[in-house]
Amino acid sequence: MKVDVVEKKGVTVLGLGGKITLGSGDVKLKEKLVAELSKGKKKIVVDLGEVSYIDSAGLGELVAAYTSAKKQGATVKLANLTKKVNDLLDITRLSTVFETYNSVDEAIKSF
Amino acid sequence: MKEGLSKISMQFFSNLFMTDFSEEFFRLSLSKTKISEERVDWVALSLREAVNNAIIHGNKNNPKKKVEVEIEFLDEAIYIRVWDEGKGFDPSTLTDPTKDENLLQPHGRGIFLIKQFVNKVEFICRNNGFGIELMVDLRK
Repeated sequence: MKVDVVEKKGVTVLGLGGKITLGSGDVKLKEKLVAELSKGKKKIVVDLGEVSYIDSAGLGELVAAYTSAKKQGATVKLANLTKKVNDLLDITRLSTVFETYNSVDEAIKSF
Repeated sequence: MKEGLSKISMQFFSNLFMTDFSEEFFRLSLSKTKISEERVDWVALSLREAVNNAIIHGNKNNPKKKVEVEIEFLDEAIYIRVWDEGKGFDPSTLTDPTKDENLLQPHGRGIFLIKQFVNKVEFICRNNGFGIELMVDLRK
């Protein structure tokens, strides 16, 4: 999994790419997120546009990111979900947990 | 549809690296069927979850213990069986990850996801281990 971090209008955007699956991508996401939280970042958008695949461990990692951020007074929002990722969030009812946006810009404006 | 292929299987020692390999094995084995690409993707996700569970929960990540993936093609269904060398578990202990109180749990969605994308799930036993059987009904 690839993770790019950029700052845009005061919001930290984590751009993920590839697979977020057990044994491949999940650890990188945690590391990057913890690093941003430790810098005091409070507004975080996770761009999932380039994520080709996500499994239950990947979903768990997104949940862990959400709860870690919340504990530190930060907010994680999701943007650019592919149809498959969107379907998985619906099936697992995680769509009721995350704020999701069609684009990174929309997610940024929502803060 | 079978073109001479009725049952194939692969065995490997417990290593999460093999999950990707299992998925490719599954996709290749279905390459001459008429199942839609989207359905293959979802069933492949179920298989990944089953293999991960076999390695982590069944074999407790013990690299000396084996996982077996078996795919059986029938005219009206495909059966996928994933075996490990563990002791099995009581499925009634599984919690529903979609309940409000479980939504923020980072774990516990694997079996739930498996059940969403295949038509039937059975937990099965044999002499040297425990398995899960996923049935894909080709009539649906």
